[in-house]
Amino acid sequence: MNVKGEVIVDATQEEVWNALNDPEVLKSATPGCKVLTEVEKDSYKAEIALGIAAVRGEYEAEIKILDKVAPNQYRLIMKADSKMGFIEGNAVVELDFNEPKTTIRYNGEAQVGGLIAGVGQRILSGIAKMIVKDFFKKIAKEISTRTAI
Amino acid sequence: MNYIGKEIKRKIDPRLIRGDGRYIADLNIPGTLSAAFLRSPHAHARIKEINLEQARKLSGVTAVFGPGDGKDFPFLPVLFPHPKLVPVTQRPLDFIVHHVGEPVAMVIAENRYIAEDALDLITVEYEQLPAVAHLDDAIKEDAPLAHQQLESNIAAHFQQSIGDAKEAMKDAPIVVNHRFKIGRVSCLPIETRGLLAKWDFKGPEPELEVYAATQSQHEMRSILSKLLKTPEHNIRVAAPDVGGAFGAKAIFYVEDFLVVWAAKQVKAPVRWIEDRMEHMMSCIHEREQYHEATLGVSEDGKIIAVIDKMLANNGAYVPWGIIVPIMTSTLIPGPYKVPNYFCDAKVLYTNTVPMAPFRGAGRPQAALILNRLLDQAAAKLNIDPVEIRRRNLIQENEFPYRTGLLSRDGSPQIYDSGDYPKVLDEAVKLSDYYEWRKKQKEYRQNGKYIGIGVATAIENTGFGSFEGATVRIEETGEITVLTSAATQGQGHETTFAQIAAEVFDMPIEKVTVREGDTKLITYGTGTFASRMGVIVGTSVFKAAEKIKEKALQIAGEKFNVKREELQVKNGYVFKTDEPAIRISLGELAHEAKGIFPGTTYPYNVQPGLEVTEYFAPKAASITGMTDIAVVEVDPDSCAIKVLEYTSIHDNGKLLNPLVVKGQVHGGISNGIGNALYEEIVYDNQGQLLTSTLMDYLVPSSCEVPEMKIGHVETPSPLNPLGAKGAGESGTIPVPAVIQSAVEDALRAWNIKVENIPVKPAHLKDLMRKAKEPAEIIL
Repeated sequence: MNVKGEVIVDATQEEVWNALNDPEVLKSATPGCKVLTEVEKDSYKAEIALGIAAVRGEYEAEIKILDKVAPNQYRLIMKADSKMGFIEGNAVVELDFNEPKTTIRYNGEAQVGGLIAGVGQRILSGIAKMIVKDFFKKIAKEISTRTAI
Repeated sequence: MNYIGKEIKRKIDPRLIRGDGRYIADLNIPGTLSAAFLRSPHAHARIKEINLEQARKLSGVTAVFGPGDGKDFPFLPVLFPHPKLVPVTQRPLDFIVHHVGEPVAMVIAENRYIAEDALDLITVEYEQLPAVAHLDDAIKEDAPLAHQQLESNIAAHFQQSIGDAKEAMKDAPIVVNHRFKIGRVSCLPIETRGLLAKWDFKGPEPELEVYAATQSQHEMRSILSKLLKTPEHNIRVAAPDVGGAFGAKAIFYVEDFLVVWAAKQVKAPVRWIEDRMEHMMSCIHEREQYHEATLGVSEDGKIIAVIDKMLANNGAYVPWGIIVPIMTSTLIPGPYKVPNYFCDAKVLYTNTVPMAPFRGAGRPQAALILNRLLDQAAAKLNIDPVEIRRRNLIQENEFPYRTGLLSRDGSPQIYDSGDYPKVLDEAVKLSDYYEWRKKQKEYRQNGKYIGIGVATAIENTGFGSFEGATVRIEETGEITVLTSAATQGQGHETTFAQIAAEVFDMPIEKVTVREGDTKLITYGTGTFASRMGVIVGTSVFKAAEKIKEKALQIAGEKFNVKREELQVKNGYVFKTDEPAIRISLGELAHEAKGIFPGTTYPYNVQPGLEVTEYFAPKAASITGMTDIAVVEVDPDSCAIKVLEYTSIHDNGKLLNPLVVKGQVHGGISNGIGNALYEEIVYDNQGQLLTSTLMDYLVPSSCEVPEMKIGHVETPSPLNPLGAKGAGESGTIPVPAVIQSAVEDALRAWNIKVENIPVKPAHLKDLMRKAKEPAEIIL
């Protein structure tokens, strides 16, 4: 399924870019993220607890940031596994500065498999869109908090 | 006839209705362990690593098996080879999985709770492989391969042909087209699959007992014997009460092998009961086909040529040959005279659950094609849809009718008997068809959109190769009938008792029918293809006739009278003109064993009042049916309501009209599900999106309409009972008749309804694309 959208942040492109590359920000923005550890540069492992439809599960996720063109865009690859199935995402994140705000644009594909695909499909794409939107909104919030300080 | 053809209530029902049925889950064998399967979340993947150790350590777990244990497991056998088929069968616990839901590991534990907890402790690392699920993807040149070792996804490519359809089409004055996109469904018996395997190692040879929810205990025994290299005489397969099957339980599955194999490893009885989600993701599906069809007719509506291009989804493996698409391709002409016909069929492998016959088996798809094309032609010629059918039906005096095609067994396809115009006329009468046509205009003036659909179809039933029955007279005077059939709710215990009761002219309460157990009779094949009434019924009839003759001969010798002077009734053999000279069947059963041990046997027949007869029919007997439906479609919400449903069936000579009516009723309910609600959906990566009954919509009693059901009885000349099959025919015309009625209701929008199931969302889409309602023309 395709997941795309945009979030406008009241900050400079530099500030947004830094936040998008900061493990602490990524951790607090990822819904249900309990642990996020940097395995190597731009490569993370995370433990996420997430309920999708009637299926609540603990996911082990791998997150990678590739194809960086600072401070304009990168590709985010996510793979999460649980007993309840798997979620894979691959999205391009682009920044566009338009004084005084920065727009975060994301456009990607998500694939869900196993039990979660089988029991929740009627509401799955809605949920996926909501989760991703939520992630970028939280990032925006983190940035505003930081810049406020 | 005192018993055959009578409406007798089913003997089995009081027990089942009280909840006293005994299914696999009810069996109570001490020490039985439970099996549970870990299933693949991927449609196509290689298992790189699997860790079973944590699961093995869980308290209460007896054993855990994974792909490493299955290296020497055989592939499941190819059951219906075909010269055009590239067969790929499943291998239990393979390192490569080919559909979501395929078993990856098996836990054997004290109970199911522990077994499922242990599944959670297994970790698997998969390497995902490119997957393909949808027909339109699988047929592409650069499509991902469902099986890496194959050159393409084409499992089979074959043609059927009568005359020269392409040439004849060129000269046809009227040519119409229709496309069909038929969705996939689950068989969905109320009782899911289940198996209990128990080995006995204490005898002279290892003995295996398998209790299975199966349609085919003898086939299961034969396959187990081959796979386990154990002689058939050391294996017993028994089906206790089975709660519906519809094709799902005719197949031999990898789980059947694994449970039996595991029971041997752990040296304890092992039971597995499939849960509903497992059923949706691992038990066979059916129906999914795309068609592009063309019909050429003369100015007066006579069929000149039919051309069909079919794509059939096969799923990942071939558990039951390519019977379904073959059936569709040979039955598209159906009850109509088609002088020129051509069908090109491609069967495609995909990374989805395998397809195999489900009640109707390829025939509901066949019934759609020509019936819906005739609708288009009728509209173009401005002829009534009933009239165009009438002009093309095979007439009563044209039987036996050679279609010019080959049957699924390679022999010429010959329809044995039938009276299709009569079946159609009865349906028109019973449904008040012409009255509804008038009402349709009135409704429309009041802003209501009702449509009337009609479809005529046939079913080839009672296929070979054979079945058998043993009939025995007990010393109590009761009759025991043992058959090779298995029953899942068809009422065999009543209908077969009626046949024996007819031969002996005695109440059916005195006849006991037993089946579903390989220990009862040596040979058998199974309950499928609407065969049991015809083939087992005839076996029972022949065996009963023989044993009656034997009883008469013993009685004749005892009384020293000619056989012709004797008759049998109500449990006695007596002299016709001197009824006081009589002997009970029970006493005769005793006589047939000799006076007492150590004496010389006094009769000129072999001892014992028991005979086994097998019946192998020469060809299939053909049933006919016409359904007429009236539906109302709300043009705003596109909600579809079935206002009236009429169905006339010719199932040959009816053994029990009540039982047949129940079968037709059930079949139509099944068909309503197919036509309007049920659809198994995969995404394009082979992820199953409908794995619960929340997502897979099944009609309840509220959605199933009242039905007017009638019968025409044209006896089959192929068996002494004149019987034809009745188990599946109900399902066959329903998708065609509903699609036709819905299109008729929305005629003002001039849309073509091509999908099955017919869903409101899809109709809304079509109506949006169509122009404003055209002027009402009727």
